[in-house]
Amino acid sequence: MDDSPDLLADDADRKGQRSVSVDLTDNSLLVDISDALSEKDKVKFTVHTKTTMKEFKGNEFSVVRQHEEFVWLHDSYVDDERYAGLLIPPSPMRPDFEASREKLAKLSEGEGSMTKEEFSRMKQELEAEYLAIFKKTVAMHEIFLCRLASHPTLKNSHNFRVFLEYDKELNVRGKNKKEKITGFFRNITKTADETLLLRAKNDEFFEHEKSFMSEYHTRIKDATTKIDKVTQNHKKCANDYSQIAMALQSLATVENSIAMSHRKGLDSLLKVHESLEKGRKLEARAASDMDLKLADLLRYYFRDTQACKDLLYRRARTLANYENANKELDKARSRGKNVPQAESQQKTAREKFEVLSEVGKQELTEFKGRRVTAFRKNLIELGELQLKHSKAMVQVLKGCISTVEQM
Amino acid sequence: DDEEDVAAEEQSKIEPAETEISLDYDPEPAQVEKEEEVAPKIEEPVKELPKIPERLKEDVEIDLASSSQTEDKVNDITILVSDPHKVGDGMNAYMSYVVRTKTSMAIFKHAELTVDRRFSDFLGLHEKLLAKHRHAGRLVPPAPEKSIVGMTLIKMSKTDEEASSIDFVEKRRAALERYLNRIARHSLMVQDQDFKDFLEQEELPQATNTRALSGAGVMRLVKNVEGAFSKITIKMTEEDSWFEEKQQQIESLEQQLKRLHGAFESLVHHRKELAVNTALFAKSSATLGNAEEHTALSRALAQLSDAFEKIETVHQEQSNTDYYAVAETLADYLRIIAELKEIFLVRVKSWQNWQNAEQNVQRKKETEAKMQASGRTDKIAVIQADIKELETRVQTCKSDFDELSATIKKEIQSFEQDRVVDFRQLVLIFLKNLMKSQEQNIKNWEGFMPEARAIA
Repeated sequence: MDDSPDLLADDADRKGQRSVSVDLTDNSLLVDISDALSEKDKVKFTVHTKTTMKEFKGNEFSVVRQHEEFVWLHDSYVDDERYAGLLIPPSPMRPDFEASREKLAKLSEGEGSMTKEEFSRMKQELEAEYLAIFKKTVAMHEIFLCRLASHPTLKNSHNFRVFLEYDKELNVRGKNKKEKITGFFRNITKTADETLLLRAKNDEFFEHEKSFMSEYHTRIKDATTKIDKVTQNHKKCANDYSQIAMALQSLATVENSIAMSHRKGLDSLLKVHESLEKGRKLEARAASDMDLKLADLLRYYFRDTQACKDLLYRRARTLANYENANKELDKARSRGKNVPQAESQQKTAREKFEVLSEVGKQELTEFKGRRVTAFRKNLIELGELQLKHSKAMVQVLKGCISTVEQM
Repeated sequence: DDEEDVAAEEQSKIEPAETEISLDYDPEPAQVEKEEEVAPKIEEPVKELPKIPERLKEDVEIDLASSSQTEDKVNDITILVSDPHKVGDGMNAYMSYVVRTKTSMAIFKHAELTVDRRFSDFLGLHEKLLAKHRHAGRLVPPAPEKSIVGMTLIKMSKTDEEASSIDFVEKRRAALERYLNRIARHSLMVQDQDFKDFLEQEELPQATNTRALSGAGVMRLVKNVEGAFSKITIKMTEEDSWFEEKQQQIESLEQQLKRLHGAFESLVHHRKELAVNTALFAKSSATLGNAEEHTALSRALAQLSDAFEKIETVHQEQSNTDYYAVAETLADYLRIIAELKEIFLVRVKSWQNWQNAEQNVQRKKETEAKMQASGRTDKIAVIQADIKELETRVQTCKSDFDELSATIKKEIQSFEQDRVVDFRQLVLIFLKNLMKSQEQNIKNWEGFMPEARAIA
């Protein structure tokens, strides 16, 4: 089959086509995923680092990491009080190859009922699908590391250095349920959570951020679900074109055997199925680009706003601690007992809260800028790619229609 | 006649079993004509040149460019079915359609004819045509299918507008239109008195046999089941390789058309879903735009929502055209092929009659030989007269069979001509529709770009 290169050769710019970009003005630590290997039930990422930071032993090295280790790294940030005021980049999502593995299995079951040509075409499609998910997974893991590496504070984490440098398995395991809720800041039930957030009404900026984030988060979540359905259906339509093209092709074969006098009708059918196959590729491309440019953008910011909400929650928690310390101090003063101890505790709590508020404010402001830039970039690219695919499709169809019309 | 239409719809569910021509059973007048039909059949005019099909209404809308072909057509007659309207209330309610005919053919009284017809009238016409033409090997266009669900919806609808806005009504209107134009395309059926009456007469006698499931109807059904069994048992030795080949071709054609039809139905279904989800996303992104505090980004999201709303309309229109103009035509073809197979069976039956006649002659001749051998010459004259009569019968049966075969060949030839024309048309509609959608998408995204670029 001809994979017309003009339509499909833009794989080179895939790397630049990520849904989220990271500002890389600081070059002291550069991380990328140079290779990834898909094994039975896991993916092994080769994490490649180039650095001028003297904390590292060398200036260029690579290690092999698995998804679970990325999650561990993420959690180690979340659990570290020192980063409570910072937006922790959302951890990459678990690679999900199940669906396409299942399809591949189904395909081999149905091998007997298909023609050789159909089988190889389906196989090609599925492989392409698998490859796309694979690439996306790699990109999301890379984005996570890049954000850490480019953050002035986060990049100095000891665990991050271990993650990048230690050339053996980190031997992490997923947290069990109990551990998940006993994490540093996660020891409060949901209801207490809400009362805390209610009480945090003391600062206009955070007050605004709080209501904005909770609303924005809900809405972007909704938008993500909806656009996913759009792209899924779009892909199904593209797949139907393929079915139609295959049916037309076999129909053409039948017609061919029917009568010589209908040659002309046949030729047009043959031509149509070739064009439709091209059309399918373009349509599938339009759908996957929408997935990449719009759905992934929304998904990423859905997760990122969750990180913002977490930050706001941590601030509210620190505020609560501070208020408690105030109360304790009042108590101590009225009783005339343990006053200096209470004073120093109150001081620490206040300082913690103030630092966190200040850093958090900066982080949230930066988040807004980052969001706007990312949306701008992706929406422009979305429009450009949709235009490109539609125009290519019109070209294909025009040629096809005029051939059929001349019959 | 309270539930007559529902009953009619019900009957249809079992009707596919009615594939046999009842030669000796059904006392309806249509069947009687069958015997007389042998004579007129011989005078059948020489089949005219391949006809270019009349363009259907929805095709014209999309495909104005190539509609100049109409000058080639043999039967200058165009039929439009329009203005579906609800008549009556409650369980007695039914939909009526305006049937407009434009023609220059001299056999019609006027160049323009307008009548009001309900669905059962179409079915009545179909039964009459079937009774007259199927046994003669002519391909009678299959009538649109009945639908209990659709009828119930209509009976439940409160106003005329509500009734005619039901999807099913438009689907049926288009199907009825295609049906009438298919008849009109046939050089012989267009001249059929019943067809002319259908287009011309103000009032039609009620098509009673399509209405209720009468006792006779039940009997007929029972008999048809038996017929279906005996059909299988007939083993015909095909001597005409043309038929042998054609039957195989038609089998594989049917198989591929089924597949294509399935693929289109799936496309229509998925695109409908896509339209729904696109609309949902349009709403969702508008809401997100409202929540967005960055002014330019908020505006861009609103614009994005706008673009998706327009894309939704595009998907909707596209799936409608794919459905009405493509999937439905393919479904028509599948039913035409089913009818074609019926005609093949008619031929098998005719062959069997001929073979039976031959056997009868054979038997008589054996009797004659036995008599001569045993010297019983007294009855020989009678036997010989019998043989003579039976031999004439063989001749009639054989010429019936030959004639039937010839007619079927001609019918299939025009079926093939029509099919190529129809498919070319169908493919063009599909492609042009696809291109139109893409062009609209280009416009949509071009409209969106300035807003995206304006985010600062």
